[in-house]
Amino acid sequence: MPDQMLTVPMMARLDRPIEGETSRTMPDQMGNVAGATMDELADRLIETGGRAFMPGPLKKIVVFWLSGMSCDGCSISALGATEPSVEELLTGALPGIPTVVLHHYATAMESGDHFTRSFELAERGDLGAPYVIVYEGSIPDENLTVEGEPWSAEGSLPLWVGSEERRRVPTAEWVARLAPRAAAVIAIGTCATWGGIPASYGNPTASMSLMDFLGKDYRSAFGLPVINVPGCAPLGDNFTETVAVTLLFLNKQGPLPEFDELGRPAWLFADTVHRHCPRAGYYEEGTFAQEFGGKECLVELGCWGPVVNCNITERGAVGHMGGCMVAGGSCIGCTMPGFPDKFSPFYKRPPGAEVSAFTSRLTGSFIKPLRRISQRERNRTNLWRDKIPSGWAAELGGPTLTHRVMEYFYEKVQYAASEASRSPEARRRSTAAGTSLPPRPPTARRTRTCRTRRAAVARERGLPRRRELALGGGASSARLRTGALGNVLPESAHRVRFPRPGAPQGRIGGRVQLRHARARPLAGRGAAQAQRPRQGDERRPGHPGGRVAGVPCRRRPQGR
Amino acid sequence: MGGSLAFHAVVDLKAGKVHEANSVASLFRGYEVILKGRDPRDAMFISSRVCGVCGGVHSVTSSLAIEMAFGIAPPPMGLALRNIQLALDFMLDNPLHLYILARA
Ligand code: SF4
Ligand code: SF4
Repeated sequence: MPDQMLTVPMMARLDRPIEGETSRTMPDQMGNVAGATMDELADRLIETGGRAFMPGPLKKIVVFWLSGMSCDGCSISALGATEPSVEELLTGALPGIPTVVLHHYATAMESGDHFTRSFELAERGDLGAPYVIVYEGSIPDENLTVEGEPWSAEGSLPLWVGSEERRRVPTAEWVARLAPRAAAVIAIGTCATWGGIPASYGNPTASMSLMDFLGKDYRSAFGLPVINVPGCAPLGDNFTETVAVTLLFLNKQGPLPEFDELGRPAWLFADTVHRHCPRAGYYEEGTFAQEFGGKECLVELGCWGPVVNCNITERGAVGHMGGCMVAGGSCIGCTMPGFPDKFSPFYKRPPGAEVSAFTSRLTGSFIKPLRRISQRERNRTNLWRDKIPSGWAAELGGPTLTHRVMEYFYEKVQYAASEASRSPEARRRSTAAGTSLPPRPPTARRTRTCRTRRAAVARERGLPRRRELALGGGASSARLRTGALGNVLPESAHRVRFPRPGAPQGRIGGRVQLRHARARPLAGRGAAQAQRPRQGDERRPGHPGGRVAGVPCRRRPQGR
Repeated sequence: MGGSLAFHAVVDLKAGKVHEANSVASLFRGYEVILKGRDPRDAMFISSRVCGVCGGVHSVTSSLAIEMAFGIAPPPMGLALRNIQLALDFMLDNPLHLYILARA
C-alpha cells in the first residue's frame, strides 16, 4: 500500500496541478526536477490517499530535519525503524497521527532555494501547518569560525535581499530562526541531546547540545521543552515511537507522553540496559567473560550496562534484532550525557565493577552450585527417581552425596506448609486420588525401598506395572537392563523393537519401543479407565503407566 | 551528493561547457583534535562516529593504524571476522548511499 500511495501524487502531478501550487509558478525549475515540492506531494497524498476521515484537528504536520555537527547516523537508524516505520509516518498510515511532510536534506525533492523556501515560509509563519524541528548532531559555536565560513551549514541565502552574493547558512541559525514557532523540538542522537563526541575533550568547535543552545527556558509553541532521544546511533524505533506519541499529543489524540528530567521518553529510558541484558544472569551468578566471543557477562571487558539508561537489549537494534550485548559487544554508554569521556577508556573495566563484580562472584560462588543441584533434580520426573530412562543418561554421572543431602532439605522446604504435606492422611488421600505422587520418604530409606515402594504404589492405584528399558553401557553393548521397577526378564523378552506404522506403541520418542507388563487384572482406578471408551489418543498423557490400560499389547513379557 | 559536501556549478548545457565549479565541505567537527590524548583503542569507537553511513570502515582503518603503530597483528580468525564485518558494512552503506544519499 505505501508504494501505491507514494506513487499517486507523482502521477497526479502530471494532469492535475494543485490549487496554489508554487513549484509550477517558480520560474527557476533547476532545484526542483520533480516539479513538485514535498508539501505539494503531501497535499496530493492526503487528497487522494483515501483517508477521508482523519481524527484530530491536524491534517498534516511539517518536519524540518536539520543536520548539524552530525554523522547522519541518526537519519540512517531512523530509516531502519519498524514500529512505527518512517513510511507509516510519511503516508499517514497510523490513525490519529497527521501525515508527516518531511524536509530532510537527503530525501527532499527540492534542492537549493527550493529547499530552503519552506524554511523561510515556516519562519514567517506562512507554512499553513504546524511544524516540528528534528535536530541531529551537536551545535557548534559559530562565533569561532574563520572568515564567516560556518562549521556546519545547511543551504545558502543571498547576503541581502536581491544580492548576487550568497552566504552559507549555519544550521544553528536555522534552529534559532525556526525554534520559536515550532510545535515541538526533538533532538535525535547523543550529539543533539547532550553534545556527544564533537563536544568531548578537545572540542575544537565549542560544540554543545540543542538544550544548551536553546536554554533552560525554551518552550515550543505548544509549550513543550526540548524532547531528547539519545543514542549513538539511537534506536530507530525509539525515535519514531517518540515522534508518533508526540504527534498524537499535538493532534489532541493522546496524553502528553511521560518524559524524565532530561527530556528523555521515560517509558524508554527509565531502565538500565543491564536489567534486560541477556547476559545479566551470568552477572548475577558471578560468571564473567575474560575475552570477547563468549556468552558471559562482559563487565570485566568494560561493559557499563548496569549504570546506563538504554533499552537496546529490549528493543534490539533493528526490527527487534541485535544490539550491543546481544551481538557480543560491551556497553560504552552511548546514550548517556557523559558519553564518551565519562565512559572511556572503553576497554577498561568500569571502576564500579570492582565492587559489584566482586560481590556477585562471592554470592555466585555458593549460589551457583546450589542452583545446579536443584536444576539437576528438576530435570527428573517424579517417576524416575535416580534412574533415567534415556539412553543418553549412561553418559552422565549420578548424584553425589552432597546432592542428595541438599535435595533432601530442599524438598523439605519446598513442601513445607503445602497441601501435600499437611498430614499423612491427606497425603494418602491425594495420592489415592491420583492428583499427586506421595512425598518421598527420607532419602536413606528411599534408596533402599524404592523398588518395593513403587510397586506398592502401583498396586494401590491399580496401574500397570512399568518396566523401563534402557540401553546400557556403550554403543556396542546390546545389553538391556530393566528399570527401577521390574523383575529381571529373560533378555529375549526385551528385544529392541522399532515401532511399526499403525501398531499401538508404548513409547515413541526413542528408538527403543518400551512395553509394559500388566501384572494382573485391573482394579480400582485403572479398571475404571480401562472401561471408559477412548477415541483417538491411545495413550493417557502424563500417566505414570504410559500405556492406556485396555489397549492390548502385541506381546506381553512373561513375569508378573 | 552523499556526505557533507556542498557543490555548486554553472554549466552551459547547450555548449556542453562547465563555466564554474565550486565545492566546499559544509561540516567540520575536528575529530583529529578530539582523538588526541585518548587510549589508542578508543579510536575505533570514536572514529567510527565520523560517518553514520560507513562507520565500520573508519573503525577498521583505526584498528589498522593501531596495528601498524604497535607492530601487532590480529589472529587469523580475527582477520577473517574483520573482513566479514567490513564486507557486511559495504553491503549496508553502498545501497544506502546509492538509494538514499546520492539520489536525484
Ligand atoms: S554485559 Fe553489561 S549489561 Fe550485560 S549483564 Fe554484563 S554488565 Fe550488564
Ligand atoms: S547498550 Fe550502551 S553502547 Fe549500546 S546503545 Fe545502549 S548505551 Fe549505547
